[in-house]
Amino acid sequence: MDRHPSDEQLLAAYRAGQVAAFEALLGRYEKPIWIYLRRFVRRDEVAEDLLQEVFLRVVRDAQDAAAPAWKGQAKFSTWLYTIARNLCVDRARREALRKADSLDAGSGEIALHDRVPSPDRGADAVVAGRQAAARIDRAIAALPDDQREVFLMREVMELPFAEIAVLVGATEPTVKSRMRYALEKLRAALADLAGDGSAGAAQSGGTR
Amino acid sequence: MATDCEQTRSLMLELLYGELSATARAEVQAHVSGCPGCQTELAALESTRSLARQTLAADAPPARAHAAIMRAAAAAVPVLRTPAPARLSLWSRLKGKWTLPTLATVGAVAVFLLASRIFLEPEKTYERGRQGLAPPAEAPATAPAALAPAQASQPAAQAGARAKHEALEPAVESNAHLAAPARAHRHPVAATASSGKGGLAAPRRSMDDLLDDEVRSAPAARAFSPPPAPADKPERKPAKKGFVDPFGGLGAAESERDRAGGAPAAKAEAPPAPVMASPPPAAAPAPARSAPASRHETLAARADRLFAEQRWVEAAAAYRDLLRSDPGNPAAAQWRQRLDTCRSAGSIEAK
Repeated sequence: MDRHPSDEQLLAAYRAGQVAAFEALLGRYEKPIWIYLRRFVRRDEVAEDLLQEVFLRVVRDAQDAAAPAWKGQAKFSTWLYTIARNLCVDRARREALRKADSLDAGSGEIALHDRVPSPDRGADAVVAGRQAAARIDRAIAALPDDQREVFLMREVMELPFAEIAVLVGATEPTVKSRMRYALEKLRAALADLAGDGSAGAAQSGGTR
Repeated sequence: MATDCEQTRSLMLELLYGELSATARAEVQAHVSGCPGCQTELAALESTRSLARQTLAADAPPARAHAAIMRAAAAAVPVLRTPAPARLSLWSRLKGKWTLPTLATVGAVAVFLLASRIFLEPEKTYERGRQGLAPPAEAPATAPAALAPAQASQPAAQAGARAKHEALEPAVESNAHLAAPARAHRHPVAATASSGKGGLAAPRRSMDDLLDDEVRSAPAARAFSPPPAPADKPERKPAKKGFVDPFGGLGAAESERDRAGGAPAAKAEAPPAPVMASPPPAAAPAPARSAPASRHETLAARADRLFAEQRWVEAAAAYRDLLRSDPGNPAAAQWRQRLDTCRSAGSIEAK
C-alpha cells in the first residue's frame, strides 16, 4: 500500500472520522502557511488567528458533507493556499480601511525584526547567527508585498511558478519577474552575509 | 558569448528552481561552467536563497494554534461520523444497536425460557437430556427470529461441549438439524466478532500505518526537509499487534458473553470451555515485548495508536506516562500537544 497518502486521501480519511489523518495534513501544511501568513500580516497574533482560521475552514468544510467548498477538482494544497491568501488579502484591506480611519496607525504593529535577540545566550556565534537571522528577516519584510508573496510561495510553499501565477492571478512571466526582483533585492541587502559564499564560489570557480 | 551570458542570466531563475527542461538545463550549465561571471552570479543567487531559506525554516508554527486546531478537528469528528453510517463496519453497527443492556436482556430472557422449560416440563427435559440428540419437535423452523435463538439454546445447552465445537466446524451429520438453530444463533455473533477484527480494526490499521509515518515525522516535514525515513518501523510492529489484540479480544469476549447468556446451562454441564478466544480484553498497559531499549518507542507507538483510534482517555494516559518517563524526548512537544487534544476531545465526548 502507498506509504505516503496523498492530501486528498488524508482528507477523505478525516471525513470518515480519523483525527490522525487531519493531524497529518496539518503537519504537512501548518508550517509553510504559518511562515507565509506571518510574513504577510507581519503581526504574530494576527498570523496565529489566521492560521487557525485557515484550518478551521478545512474542518468546517469536512463537516459540510452536503456542499463542500473543496470539491476535489483542484489540488487540496492549492485550495488551502487560496484560503490563506484570501484571508490575508481581506485582512490587509480591512487594515487599510482602519488605518485610513484612525491616525494612530502602526502603534500596535510589532514587526518581526523588532524583536532583539537576547544577549545573555552565550557564544558570540549564536548572537551573530541571530543577528544575521534578524537581518534576513528584515530584508524579506522590506520586499514589496507582491514580490514577497511570490518569494514566499516559491521558497516556503515550494510551488512552481505556473501555480503561483494561478494563485495570485498574474501571468507566469509577471510572477517570474517579481521573483527576480525579490532575489536581487535580497541579494543586495544581504551582500555581506552572502558575500563569503559568492566570493568563495567565485574563487573556486576561478581555480577550477 | 555576450548573448550567451544574456540568455543564461534570463534563464537563471528557472535553473535555480529546477524549472528548465533537461536540454535547456544542460545548455545553461554548459555555459555557466565555462563563464566565471555567470558562475559568480549563480553562486550569489544560490547563497542568498539558502540564507533566506535557513531563516524561514527556523520559524516554527505556534504550538497553541496547533492545539486549538486539533481540538476543533477532534471535536468535529462525531459530527463527521454520523452522516456516513454506511462506512461503518457491520461490527460497529451491531455494537451500536446491541448495546450491553440489550445483550443482557437477551441473556435474561434466554435463562428465563430455559428455566421455565426445565421446571415446567422436567421429565421432557430429562428425557431429551438422556437422548441427547432428539430433535426438538416443538421448535418450529418458522419461529420468530427473536425467540428462535433462545429456544435453540436449550438443546444447544444439552448438547454441551459438542455444540461448542461445532461452532467452528461445518455442520455434522445427525446433529445438523439440532445444531442448526444454535448455529444460526451463534454465527452472527461469531461473524460480527470477526468482522470486528477484519472490518473495523484492519482497515483502520492500514490507514493508521500510513498516518503514523506522516505524523511521526517532524511536523511540516514537507517544507525544507527530506521525506521521513521509515527507520523505526520494525520496532513498532510488535507494539501495534499488542494494541490491536485487546480490541479483537474485546470482540471475542463479547461473543463469549453472548454465548454464556444464550446457553447458561452449558456452563454447568459442559466441561470447562475450551479457550477459543484470544486473551481477555485487559485494559493492558504497554505490551513491553520488545527490548527495553526500545521501550519508549513501543509506548509511543501504542499511545499514537490509541490516539488514532480516538480512545482519548487511554491515549491521554499513555501520553502522560510517556511525558513523565521521558520528558526530554524530541517528540515530547508532540506528546504534549496530543495530550491536550485528547483531553479536550475526551471532555467533548463525555458531554
